[in-house]
Amino acid sequence: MKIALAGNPNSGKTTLFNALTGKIEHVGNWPGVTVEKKEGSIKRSLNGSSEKMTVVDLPGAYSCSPYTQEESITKDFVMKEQPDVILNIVDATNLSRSLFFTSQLLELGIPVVVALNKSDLNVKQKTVIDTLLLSEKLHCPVVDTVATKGGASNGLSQLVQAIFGAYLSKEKQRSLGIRNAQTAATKEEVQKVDEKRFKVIASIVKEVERRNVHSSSQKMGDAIDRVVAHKWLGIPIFVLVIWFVFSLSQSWLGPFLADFFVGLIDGLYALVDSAMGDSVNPVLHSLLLDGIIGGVGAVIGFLPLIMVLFFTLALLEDVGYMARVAVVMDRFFKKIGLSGKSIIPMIVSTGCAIPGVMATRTIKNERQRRTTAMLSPFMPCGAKLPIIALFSGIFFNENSWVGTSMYMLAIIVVIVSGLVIRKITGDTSQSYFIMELPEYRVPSVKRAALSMLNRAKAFIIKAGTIILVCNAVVQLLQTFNWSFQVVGESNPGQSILASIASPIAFLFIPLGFGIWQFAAAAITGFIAKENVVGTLAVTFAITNFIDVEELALVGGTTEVMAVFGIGSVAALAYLVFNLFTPPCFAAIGAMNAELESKKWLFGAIGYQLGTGYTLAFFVYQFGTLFTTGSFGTAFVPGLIAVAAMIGFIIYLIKRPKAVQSVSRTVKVGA
Amino acid sequence: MGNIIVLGIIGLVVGLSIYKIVKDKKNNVKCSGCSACPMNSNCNTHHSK
Repeated sequence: MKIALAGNPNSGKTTLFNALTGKIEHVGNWPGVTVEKKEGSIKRSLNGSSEKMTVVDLPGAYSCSPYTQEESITKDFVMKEQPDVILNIVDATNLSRSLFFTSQLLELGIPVVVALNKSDLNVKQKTVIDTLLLSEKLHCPVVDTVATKGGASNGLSQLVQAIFGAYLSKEKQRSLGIRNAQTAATKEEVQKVDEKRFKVIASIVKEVERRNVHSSSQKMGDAIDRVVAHKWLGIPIFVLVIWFVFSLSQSWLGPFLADFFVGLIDGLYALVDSAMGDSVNPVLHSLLLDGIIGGVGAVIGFLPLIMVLFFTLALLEDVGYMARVAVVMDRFFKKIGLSGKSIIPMIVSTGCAIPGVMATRTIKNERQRRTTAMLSPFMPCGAKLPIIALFSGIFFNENSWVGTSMYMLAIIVVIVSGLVIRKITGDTSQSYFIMELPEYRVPSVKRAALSMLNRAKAFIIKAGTIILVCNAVVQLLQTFNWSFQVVGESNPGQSILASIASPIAFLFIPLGFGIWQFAAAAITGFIAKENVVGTLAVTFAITNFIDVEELALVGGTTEVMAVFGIGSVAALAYLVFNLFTPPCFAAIGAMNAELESKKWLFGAIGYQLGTGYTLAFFVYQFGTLFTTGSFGTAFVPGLIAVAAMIGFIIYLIKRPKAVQSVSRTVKVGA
Repeated sequence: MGNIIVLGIIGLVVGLSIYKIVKDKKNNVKCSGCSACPMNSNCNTHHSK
């Protein structure tokens, strides 16, 4: 039996899907979390029959007339795949709007079962819905559910029974009898049908619902929104929230938890070191100890900090705050030809750029979709957090403003880049962002913990696979020269790795980090961004970055600078460079799939490279000017390179593109 | 003898890592490490097939 799970965005479909199947798909307290259909079987504890019940979780839709790509997935599935039963999730707190889609689903002739979800919120808001009467009016079973709740009282077993009953009855679903609903073809006819539909729904809602509109929680939510979603106050509040998240993860709770973790890694390092003793060949000794254990350990050491950050971000999302951020940013995004809808992929990108890029498919306008896919990787993803934590910890005394300012810089870069791309493409079309703000709710610690554990698991898998292999290769490449002779520890500049990275390091001189180890780390960062930390650990033979005391106690910041050979301004420039150059290859692959154009893909990679280089140049040169009173090394050659890049962008903006503009205008107008 | 054991350990660890990378590649696992990924249900980073 195939069951289609359909309903409005943010009605709780994925939460119900997880509760029915036992899966742990990502749930977000905002619309548009699901952009592809997902399948799972109803778990044994709920399904008493021998029949296999497969549930397909579809992206949210407001109607059967698709306006976005994810709505098309829903419509196509329901219309073409002909599921045995449609499980329609209706948001009990927003009955009149939800029933519009329900009325259309009833017209498909497939048995419909309505899950009246979020019933618990109705109880709190003193809204009463007569379920029996609603079932009678809709000609289908209606079951009260609370998908977020465990135990027998969540209504899930009654729901599964109702689905099974509807499946066995094999009766054709009756519609609400709205005249011409099936035959309406023209825009005017559809409009008339929609008007009738609204009237029928309004009469049903009037009969079945007793609503207490002025509930205290609504007043409270509105009052909070007036502050956090305020057009001016919203921005400093967002900065403060991000600063708090970074402080918690990188200064307060994160390092405290990391201490225990780092102790384990140090213990393993010491154990293996003593077990090997002096009898093992030095090449094998350093490959296992410095390359594998040291390199992977340096990355894994940041795991507690990342887990705290992801946990806090998941709580913020669950409480409903992230949806408000989208609204606050919409004003700025509209000015650059994007909409608040572009914010969602960018917020998703703070976890990982790949789903962020994939989430752009919810944007209908092609230029906006491509621009968002191109700019989303600028947001600091989870893999970039160890780099932020490393440099803010060592060079800036664990200052949370480093991470916060990187987020803010990313937003500024996105806004400026959006404007540049808009000018280059010549597309001046605007779109409007309508987002239903989810109600504030008490965040679920369980959901946030699951989200955090998922990401932590993936981080560990990545450290144990790609990063481990990369570090082993880096260790070997820096151990041997091209004649495959071991280079001495005092002469690592003769190694294969140094000879590959040195020409690239030459290009980084104007950025303040023209050292081959930094170039090598930046290159391996394209395989996975965590590699930047791992490679620095291997090439500088530092086993443990997280224990900053270990480094600091040796001789304070000066000692650290001596190990790295750069100052704090160059360190900040290196951080900016790694954050704003192209993402890892996997994310570039996702960009390739979503951009659907080689021209856009190579343009995006070139733009990201140019942005990273230019920003790092300005940070280093002007930072040096500010701190020492004169520009840093190789200012003039760097300035020529940056001017050439900016000049090329200006050329692209100024070049004639009349034909392109006309065709786009026609397309938008149509 | 010590060299052979260490070489064996390194070979085993790196071999297992490469095996996992190749297996993931075959299964089209994007290794995004993010539960928000729309490919989540098709990705055995989180769910075994």
